[in-house]
Amino acid sequence: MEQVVVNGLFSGAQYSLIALGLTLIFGLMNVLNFAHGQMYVLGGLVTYTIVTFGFGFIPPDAFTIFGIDFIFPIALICAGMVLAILGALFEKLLFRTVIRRSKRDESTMLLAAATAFLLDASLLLIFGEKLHSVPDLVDGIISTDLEPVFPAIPFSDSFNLPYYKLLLGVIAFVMILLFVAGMRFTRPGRAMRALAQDRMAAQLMGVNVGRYTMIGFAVGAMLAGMTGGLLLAASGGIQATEGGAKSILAFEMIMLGGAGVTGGAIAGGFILGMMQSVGHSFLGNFTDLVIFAALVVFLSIRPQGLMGKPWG
Amino acid sequence: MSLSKNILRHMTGVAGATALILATSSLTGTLTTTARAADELHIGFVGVTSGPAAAWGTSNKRSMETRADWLNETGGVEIGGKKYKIVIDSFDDQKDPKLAIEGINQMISKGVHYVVGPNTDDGASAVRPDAEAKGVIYFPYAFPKELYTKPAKNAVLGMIANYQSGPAIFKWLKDNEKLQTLAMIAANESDALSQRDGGMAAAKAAGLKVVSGTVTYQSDTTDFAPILTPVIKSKPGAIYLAGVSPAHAPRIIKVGRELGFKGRFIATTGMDAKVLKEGAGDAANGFISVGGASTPELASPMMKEFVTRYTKKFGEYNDESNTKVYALDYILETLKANPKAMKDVNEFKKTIDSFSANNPFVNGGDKPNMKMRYVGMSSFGQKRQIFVPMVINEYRDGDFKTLFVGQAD
Amino acid sequence: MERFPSNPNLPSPQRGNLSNLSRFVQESRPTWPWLGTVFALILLFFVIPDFIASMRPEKQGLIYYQFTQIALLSIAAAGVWLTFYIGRINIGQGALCLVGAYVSAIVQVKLDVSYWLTIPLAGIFCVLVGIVIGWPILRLRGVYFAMITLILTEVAKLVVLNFPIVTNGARGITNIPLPEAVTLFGFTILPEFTADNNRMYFYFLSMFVMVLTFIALFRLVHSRIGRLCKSLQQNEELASSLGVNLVLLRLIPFCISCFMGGVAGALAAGVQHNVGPSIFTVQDSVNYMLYCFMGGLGNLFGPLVGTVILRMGWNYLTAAGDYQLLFYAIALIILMLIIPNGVMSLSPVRIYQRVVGWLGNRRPTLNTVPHNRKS
Repeated sequence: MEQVVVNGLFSGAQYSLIALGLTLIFGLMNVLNFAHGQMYVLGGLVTYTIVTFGFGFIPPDAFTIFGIDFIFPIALICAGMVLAILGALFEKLLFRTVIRRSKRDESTMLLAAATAFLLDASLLLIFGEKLHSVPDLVDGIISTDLEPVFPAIPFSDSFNLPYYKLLLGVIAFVMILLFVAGMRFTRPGRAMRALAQDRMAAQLMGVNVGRYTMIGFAVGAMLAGMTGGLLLAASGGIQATEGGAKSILAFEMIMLGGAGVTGGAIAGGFILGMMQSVGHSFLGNFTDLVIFAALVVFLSIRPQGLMGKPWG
Repeated sequence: MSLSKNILRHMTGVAGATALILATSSLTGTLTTTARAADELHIGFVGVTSGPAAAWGTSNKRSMETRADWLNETGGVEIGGKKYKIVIDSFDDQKDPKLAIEGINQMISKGVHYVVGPNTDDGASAVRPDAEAKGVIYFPYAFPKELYTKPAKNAVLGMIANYQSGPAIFKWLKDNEKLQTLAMIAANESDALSQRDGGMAAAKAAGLKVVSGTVTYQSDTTDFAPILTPVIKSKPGAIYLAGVSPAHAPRIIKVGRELGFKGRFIATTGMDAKVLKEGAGDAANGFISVGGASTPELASPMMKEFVTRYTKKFGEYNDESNTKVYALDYILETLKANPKAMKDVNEFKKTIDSFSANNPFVNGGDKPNMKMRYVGMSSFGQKRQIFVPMVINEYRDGDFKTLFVGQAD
Repeated sequence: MERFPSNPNLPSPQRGNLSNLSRFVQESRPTWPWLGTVFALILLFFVIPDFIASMRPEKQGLIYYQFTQIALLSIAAAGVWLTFYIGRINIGQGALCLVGAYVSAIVQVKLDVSYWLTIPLAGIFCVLVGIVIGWPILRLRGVYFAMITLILTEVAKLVVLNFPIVTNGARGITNIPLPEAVTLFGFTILPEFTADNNRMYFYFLSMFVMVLTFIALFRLVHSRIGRLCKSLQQNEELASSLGVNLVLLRLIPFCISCFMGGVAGALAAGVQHNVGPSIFTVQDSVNYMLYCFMGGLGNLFGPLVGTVILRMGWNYLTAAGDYQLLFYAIALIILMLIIPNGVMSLSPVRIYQRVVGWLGNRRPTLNTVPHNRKS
């Protein structure tokens, strides 16, 4: 059971991070960002490129100081910046125009899908279809091999956790905390929360709607990118074509937790991660079917998800 | 590094394609029937070259293009006393059977009689009616037996099927390493699940006990720890990864080792050593897979040149192309043996039974057991499979080492 | 046009989505539908086949197949459009198509029922499925409904894969016979489909069903239920306060949508002679939605126009080789920026007014100088 719980928590941390950016963009703009998964992949691949090849003339091992390799955090930040710029551009050049000119909010879904196609096509052309991975951040593993941790307790089983996963889990946790704190205590964070709550009221109170929407989109994209970088290291690599599926996964999580709510995304991620982990251990090939069915039943009882407001 | 080169290449590519599209759109009005040069031989490819499964079709398409360029460079192919330039017409079916049908019809409309692909079970089944009605021989990379057994007529399996390699591997492991138990996992997809069922039968036939066989994963899974935990708990001697894609294998292997699994991983699909090295590193040591029909000892100078040309053209090589290079040569060699088959696929089918030619891609390709020929009698009851050496590889420190070489008959 | 607040507490606002063209359609109801139908029938059953017959024989199969696909996809997309009409974004039509295809295949192969009967049967089965899923999830709105329908296709695929006793699992059903002839009192009403002519006959069949679908859609939209649905799209609370049975009103169009999905699926199973779990995927579901958006949500011919444009555009871009998807995406983005409300939102009258307005605006700028000086 220990292994199952650890697996669930680790998956959950990954999922929460994926869902956070999506829920932010959704909360601010009512846009279901189909391209979220692709942004995530782009972030991962930018990180991969920098970690593997450095910055053109500077080789990657130039960043090793006192025996600690700093290339990964640097690459992660770069990925975040690239995606933030891309997100801002997308918002400013595409989404803003379409939202202004279209009669129905949902028209942005076509645009979002189109941007997803665009990123998908470009990523496949540039990076190819192969899996790209980076070396583990740190070596070593906490392991009881295949022996139970507490042989006396009935459900106890073996426990294995590599240090790099532990480290990534901690980073993910810190990132989630930073994001939540940023949304709660900084001025742009407050502005964005106000926008998500009631756009018109926020506008009346003097919030610069256009500017903060753009910042929000950029932050959402940045989160996606950094998550991509983190998960590149956490899940053994990243493939240029896996973006679409990640978007759908993220949709499931924000549905579960409640769209547009930060806490909901985090909760949704952890619950889904845990459900998958437990499910695979006990339900075999019916796991995914059962999870989907449970999700449909849950949502028909509680349409707004766990923490969402009714009719988001 | 190849990335910037790659981007540059694509920028010129985009410019070229734009020009092409503009040109075709301005020309379609005037040239509705584009005259085909008389000395061109068109061979089709219908398969998946985009989306998550892009790896499968891309290696096909690139192999064909590389080989065609090479043949054209040396003056083309002589069939029936006439030189032909080889042209590859390719169609991306995006793994969608509906598009695969459209692809095969497009080939029919261009008068193409020989098509490589599709890459998936569903796609191959979908194109069968049209291919049989309109006279197209196709070379699927899909394993369902009903495609190749009677009454099916026109499909020729382009590689070694898992129900051929699986038994061989299981038997070898049982004899040499005293393997007793086996676990299987598969993606929730047609191809992988039917390969798992095939593997299940093969394991039974080999006398292995399957301790865990129901665990499946969604094909978009990236975190395999939850999936592998129950499998490893059942303490199998080896884990068979049914129909695993080259991108999933390193992830599964890495997580499996982290969870404490010590036995071997087995796959009956082609793998990529570079990806395994990058993604799983030493954890992948001992991983058994069906190699790309070539080993350092087997590879002839011509195979080596093919690899060089491929790498030069596309910036990287895919080990699977060692198998996928064969289809085009089989088509051309069979046409050479019977030039009448150029226009009539029934002639091709007649030739299949007696066809035999030297195999240029292996050393000793003129020996009877290595010659190019059609096989499949024991699996399908008729010759509907190309002969390629069944190379069973073991991954070891960044490279594949040949475990043993077998044959399908 | 300023953006409306996206307050999650408010229902999605409605901004008069009747384009001039559809208003024209609505107002000139007595003569237009019959004229249009006759015109469409002549075009689809005489002009296009005649045109195809003039092509090389090897090419005919391809062209028939491409038109058949457009017909099938637009039938399914019409269903999606109908759910848009009640203010729901449906990204799950692929699931219903998959169910329809499998129902048709299973009933034919296992129970030996004629293909012709399986088409309505698949539709009816999908209606039952629609009631079971629609009844709970139609309470969801906006993006929630969209997201939950998005996973339906995956659910359908998993069901097919995990219950092999009924569905033959991963291997699919590969031995669907071609439709046989139907005779009544010695007259052949429906001809036998053979390996040689089935592409052409399936073209006629699917075009016929497509015409029926759009006639039905037209009747529905202009019926009492249709007008009530429209009120739903605008404000559900208001509609319910007027005594409309909301649950039923949402369920009826959704079930009709499911019926269309099922029929499209059954047709696809026939056209393809076999079904497998990947015959309809999430990608298809997303595509149906895109077709509707591209065609325009305000006009009931939107899904048809959208299907034609996107499908033909995609085929055309085959010339771009590896860059097909890239070009497709760029074209989509550009189209979205130019016509965010879909192709059918463009009406000749509007364009004329735009142009005149634009020209008209030019001249007054010259006159502003004295005007300003006066003040």
